[in-house]
Amino acid sequence: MLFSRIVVVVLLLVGVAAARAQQSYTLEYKFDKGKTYRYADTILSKTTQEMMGQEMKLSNNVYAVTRLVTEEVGKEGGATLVMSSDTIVVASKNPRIDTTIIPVELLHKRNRISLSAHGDVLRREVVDSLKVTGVMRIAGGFAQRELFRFALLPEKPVVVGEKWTRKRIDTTEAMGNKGVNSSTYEYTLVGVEKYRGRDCLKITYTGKVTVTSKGSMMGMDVFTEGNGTFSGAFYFDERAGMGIGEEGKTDLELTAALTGQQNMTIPISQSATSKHVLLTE
Amino acid sequence: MSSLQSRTVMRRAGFIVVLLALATANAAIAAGISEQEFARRRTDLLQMLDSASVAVFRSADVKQRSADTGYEFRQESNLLYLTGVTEPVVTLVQVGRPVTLNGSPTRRILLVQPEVLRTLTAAGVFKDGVIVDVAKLPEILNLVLAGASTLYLSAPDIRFVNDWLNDRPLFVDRDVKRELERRHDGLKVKSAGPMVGKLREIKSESEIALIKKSIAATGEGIVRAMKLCKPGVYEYELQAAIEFEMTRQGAEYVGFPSIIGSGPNSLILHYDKNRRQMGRGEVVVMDVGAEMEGYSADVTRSIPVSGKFTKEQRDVYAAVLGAQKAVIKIIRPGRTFADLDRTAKSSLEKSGFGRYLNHGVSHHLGLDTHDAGGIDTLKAGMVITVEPGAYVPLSDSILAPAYRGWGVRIEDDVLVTDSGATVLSSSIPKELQEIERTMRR
Repeated sequence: MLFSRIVVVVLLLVGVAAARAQQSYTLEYKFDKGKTYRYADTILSKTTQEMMGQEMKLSNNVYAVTRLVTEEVGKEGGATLVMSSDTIVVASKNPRIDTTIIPVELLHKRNRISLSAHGDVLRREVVDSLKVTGVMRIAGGFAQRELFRFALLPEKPVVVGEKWTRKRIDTTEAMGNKGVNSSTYEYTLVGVEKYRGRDCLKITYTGKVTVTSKGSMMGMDVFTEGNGTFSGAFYFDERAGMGIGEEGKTDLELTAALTGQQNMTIPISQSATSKHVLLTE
Repeated sequence: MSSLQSRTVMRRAGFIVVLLALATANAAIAAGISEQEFARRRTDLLQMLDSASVAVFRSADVKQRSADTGYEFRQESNLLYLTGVTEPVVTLVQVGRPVTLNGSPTRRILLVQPEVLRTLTAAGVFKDGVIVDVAKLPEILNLVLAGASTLYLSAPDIRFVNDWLNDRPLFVDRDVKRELERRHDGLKVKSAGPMVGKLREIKSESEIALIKKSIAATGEGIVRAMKLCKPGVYEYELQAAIEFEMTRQGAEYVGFPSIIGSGPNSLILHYDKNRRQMGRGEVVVMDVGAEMEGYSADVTRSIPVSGKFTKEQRDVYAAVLGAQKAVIKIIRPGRTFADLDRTAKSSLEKSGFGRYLNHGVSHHLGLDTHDAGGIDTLKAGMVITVEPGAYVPLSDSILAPAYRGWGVRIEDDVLVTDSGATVLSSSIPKELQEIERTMRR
């Protein structure tokens, strides 16, 4: 009798587990009109570059709080969001500079992005133009991008263990500098996991990225080209329809070329880790 | 082809033959550094290679100026440092483990053109290795790269081409390295620059002597320019005076294009057009350097065009000079380049000009004006520049109008010693009164 009860319990447990494993998830972002989402972003990067026979190691750490205000919600899901930075702190270290700056000219400058329900950026628009000079011109290009990248969700229901592949082409054009990042992501729905106190679907990703950019700096033309790999995990609250956090790592091998007053190529190896967490919604 | 064209072609061909003959006759090793020192440098480099590593150094290419006119040839600095050979079409190969060549094991192979080979052999140089015809380069590269895991490469010329017609950048050196890695399984191509930089950053006694020689010629040039300078003179006249004197003292080249920036041009760090006529009451920045046997000087003096500094010019000059002296005072082994930058900035801030310094104040000096070497900690034997400046833009709204639209830079060449610093360019007039006195003569 006891044995048969155990058998029944075991069979039931297996059944529940199998049912959960087979449960399909329809993943979509759900934004509420007027609602504000704030993400804390930490990006730590280490760079080694060689210039004129000298190897230089640099580190740049960015700490930011990004604000996303839902302006409109689309009929088929998705939303138009107004994005700005509440805080940006940049800590830079190289053999000649050890400094921490707050680029005030980039704070609270708004950009509008339209997202599909699956995280594709449909449109971008600069609301507040930036007036920055020198090195900050390049930083300005990044400031017009959301640091928290919404995972590209599958367009059909998925079950645990299922993979999907998406491409993301991101073009930046800011103050004379044009850049294109082409990324191919392979996502895997790993399962349910507690993240920051919430039941989240853990979605891991790996991928490859190619980078090209063209611009000018101090009167010289600057071309950059390279590629790299990335991996990480995205935590998605299915019921809320919101990304709760992301932790990732990117390795890039780039070559920059300066032409004009000086002619040189600069091989650059860059390794960066990033963490983005939802602070308030 | 018309007879006039044939005559022109024949004349050109004859000219080329004469040039080749001259090149053969002058095939040379840079003077001032002994063959023993070159051999020691090659051995030092070999000690940095593991048994599966190879280092290859290629000479600079002859550069075309226009049509059939070329620029004067100057050897690539890493190759010059390791061999002293001043000829084009030269390759130095150093191997972590010996390879057999001409029946003997060797770790050092120098590949040159046949006529240079004869000259070098007759001169008795490169006895620590084997000199072979450069035509054997593909064969030798295949030999040394078989089984190698790392190739340290120093190849200066083909780097990047902006294919503007098709609007695409061509990263030639990167793609060349990738192709080599594809052809040799397991090979990783790295730059030899940082490795040789570690050797080049510490100067030997003979290198210091050559730098001193270049500085002396540069000083003579600067003094000549100081005496010539007056309102109405053109920037290029000062350039001519400086370069005439440097050449007269034996300089083969200028280490970098002479910077003679007067009035608003004094604000442009690397201004080298030098076409402006100088006016009364202006400052002219002269940033120049002779090059002898490959070693460059780099000295800057800022002088009043009229021969006497105005009150505002004195203020800025004294602040920059104070900053320069403050930097020189703290130089000693263990200090960092960042310490030097901070000291200059802090000194200028005390005088109210800190915001007007917008560049680093120091770099290595040697075979290149911005020479190879680490930019962190100072070591005894390094030769560096100390060159603070203050540049007040015309758009400045803080200082009075008389301070705006011009700049001052003062630069000396300094040897880091065990106990501090020796200013190698100290004999070139620098104090306010000294400059005014020199200009009166």
